[in-house]
Amino acid sequence: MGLEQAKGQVDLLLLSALAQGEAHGYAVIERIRVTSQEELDMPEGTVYPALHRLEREGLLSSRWDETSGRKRRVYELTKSGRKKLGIHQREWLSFSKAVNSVLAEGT
Amino acid sequence: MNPIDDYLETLATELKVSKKAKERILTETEDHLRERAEREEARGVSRAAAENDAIKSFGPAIEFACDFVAERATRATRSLWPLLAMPAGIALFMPVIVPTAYKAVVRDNDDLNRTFVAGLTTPYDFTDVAVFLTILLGCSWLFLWSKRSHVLPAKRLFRGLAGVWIADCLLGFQAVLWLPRDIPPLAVGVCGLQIALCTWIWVRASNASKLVKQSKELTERTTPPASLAA
Repeated sequence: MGLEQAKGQVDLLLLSALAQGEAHGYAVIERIRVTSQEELDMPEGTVYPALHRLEREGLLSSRWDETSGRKRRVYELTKSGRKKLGIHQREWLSFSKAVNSVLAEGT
Repeated sequence: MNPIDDYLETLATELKVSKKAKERILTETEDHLRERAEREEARGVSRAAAENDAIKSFGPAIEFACDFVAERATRATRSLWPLLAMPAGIALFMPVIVPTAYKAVVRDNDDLNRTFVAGLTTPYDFTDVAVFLTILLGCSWLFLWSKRSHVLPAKRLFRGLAGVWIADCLLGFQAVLWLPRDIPPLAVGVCGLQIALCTWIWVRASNASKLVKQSKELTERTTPPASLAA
């Protein structure tokens, strides 16, 4: 799947990646890339505005971390972020199920 | 300077956000680019090639900056609407609250029974005229400025603001007329509060307009002309 399809689901992908545990921006992108078996290769720069927005919306929290020897911002899912992820996941599963049904009928 | 430093310098120039936000974005970007370049280098790629690859994967600095500025502009514009309701609320309630509060304190009904029309029959004192002229000049200025604005959403916003201000000030002026003649400081206070609020909103609105303009400029720079795109 390419860039355009991934763009519409950036929030869901970021929240899902962070549900696995706290991470900094680069690690979040790597998680998405590895978990999707390199199918989802988003332009890396698009991730940060989305992370900042999700933080402002209270779905993520962040803090500075210097344990790696470099100053980096680490993001974590908040309680409302988990709740939102659950809603997004249900919506996506229901949507993909519907699309799959239509596709199955067409083949 | 290496490619990453060049990139960060361009980004710093294009990012029209607060100082704190800029610092954070630049630190995060630098961390990202350096980590990515280090990983590439570990795979045997030369340093310069690794840094260029990291920048290519990250995307152009202008596009990255544009995302942040556009988001900030949207937030700044959205946050103005509740603020616009504030002077409108004061305009509606001040003429009721102030005379009622005065009535409760001094228990004097004579002046409060005067209507707006009745108020006009009494001679204005210097304070009334001064406040009214200030309001009138402010409104004219706001209208002229709104016509000069070439950013469409901001134009609508300023016109809305001007409308609220006029309604606000007219009602405020009515409140001035309602008030007994012997307490001009309170009358001035009522109008002064409105003017201060409107000025504050004006500053916020100007800032939002500036951000919308900057965002539009950045978007234009990142979008190729139609002739090229075709």
